[in-house]
Amino acid sequence: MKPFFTRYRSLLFAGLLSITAGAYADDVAHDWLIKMSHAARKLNYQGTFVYQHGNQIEVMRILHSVSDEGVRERLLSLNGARREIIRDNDLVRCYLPDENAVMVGHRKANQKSFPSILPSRLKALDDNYTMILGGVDRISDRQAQLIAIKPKDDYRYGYRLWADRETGLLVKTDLVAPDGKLIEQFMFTDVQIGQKIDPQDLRPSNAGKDMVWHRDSTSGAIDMHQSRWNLQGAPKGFRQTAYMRRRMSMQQQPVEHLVLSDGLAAVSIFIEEIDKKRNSSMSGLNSMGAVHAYTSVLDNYQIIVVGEVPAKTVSAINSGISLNR
Amino acid sequence: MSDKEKLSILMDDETNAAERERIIDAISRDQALREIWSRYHLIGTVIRQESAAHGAEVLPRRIAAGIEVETSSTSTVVSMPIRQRPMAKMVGSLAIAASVAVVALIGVQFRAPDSKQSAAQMVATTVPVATKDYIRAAGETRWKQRQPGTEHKLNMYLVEHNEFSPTTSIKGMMNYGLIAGYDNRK
Repeated sequence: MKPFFTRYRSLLFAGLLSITAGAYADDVAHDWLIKMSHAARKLNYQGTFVYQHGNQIEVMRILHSVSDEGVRERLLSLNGARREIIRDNDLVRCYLPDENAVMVGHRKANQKSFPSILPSRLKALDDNYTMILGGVDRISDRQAQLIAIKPKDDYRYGYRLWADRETGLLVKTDLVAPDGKLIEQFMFTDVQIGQKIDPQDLRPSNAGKDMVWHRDSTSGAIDMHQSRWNLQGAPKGFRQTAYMRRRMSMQQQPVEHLVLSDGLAAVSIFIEEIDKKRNSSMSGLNSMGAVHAYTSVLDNYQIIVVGEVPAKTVSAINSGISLNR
Repeated sequence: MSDKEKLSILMDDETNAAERERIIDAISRDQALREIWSRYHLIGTVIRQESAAHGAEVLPRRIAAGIEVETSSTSTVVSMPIRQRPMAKMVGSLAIAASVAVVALIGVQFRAPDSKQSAAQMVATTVPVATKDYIRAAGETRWKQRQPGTEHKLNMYLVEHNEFSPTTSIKGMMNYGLIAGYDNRK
């Protein structure tokens, strides 16, 4: 009789090889995620992309410039109203000519809370998603590597990401419902990567002279270490990544802002004290595209849970919030 | 009322809920009506892209890109362009639209020289068939609950939220697409 190892040697070897290959594919997918995150922040790029959501297609122009002056970005809708969003380092301006409004805010995320894809967080991400290294496609005349990210439950969406093989920049992305249906898609139809961006192209097309400007009354947020809120209903994998208090545009009362994330998806909880002089009318489930929001009143506070997650996720989080007493 | 009139009424959203439901049901059951619905929206997109910042010379490419989105999709979500616009306002542009649409179709055909299909057949087959649910979802790209003051607030919260979403670190400003692009004429 042959020894056990001799008899099952080939089987063991094949099994080991398959485990090793699977781990390798996971690692390569992780590497691509990090590369994509790095490329999106560090590279100059500009291009036109189509944004398909629900049954609608938008065409937008995007510019991203990294220079001695910092990071400057511009997003311009090429259809309908000339809506645009301009980010100049920490300053964000949303021009909404159809609403005769300019919204001005400041980036609140600091070094600690800025949502980078970090190697240390990728392992936690594996608890909630399965990463699959796909094939190579041609997107916008560039070779692109597909990374598929499948959720392990129906509290989060899945993603198909195509990264430019040369630079790592995301050139196409699908957001996929837990049942596999496509929810929305971004895809560059033309993109230039690594070329200097003309500063003139980063300016808004409308100075907003005749528009109503809504500004942040303060530029900073106060980081809070100890939340006074209990979060019992958060689905598995979502953990708190930020908690702060600040004033926001059009808002007299300070707002508390908690962020939960599973490593990829994120949900924000905004808590504002109800101004009794103003009769707030928001309540229940709301949605726009893949984004869901759930609003409720708890004691004297209005609670708004919002994120690019399924409806059941914002509902579950909202219903589990209580105040520490 | 002719079938095309029904479609125009639906696109213009100039009807009550009951009539709307009835027309949607009719379209859902009728292959020819679904195809007309698809073409109306294709024309609508051509007209809108005619006035886009980058001019008409890139139109065929954009249309081709839009159709590529559809053909590359493996899902049942239909990717037809349907930012709604009263058909009455489109009349003045229809002549331009027709000519540009022809260019767009040539562009599509040029992209697939091996195909034996005619351009018209190609559009008819590459624009997926609209389903009832799909049509029902038309224009639902703003917040569904729209009460005075709530949209600004929810949009601002969404912008604030995006800063903290890990996907933003990959998608960059694309994550703001919903704010910059959502349909505001509905």
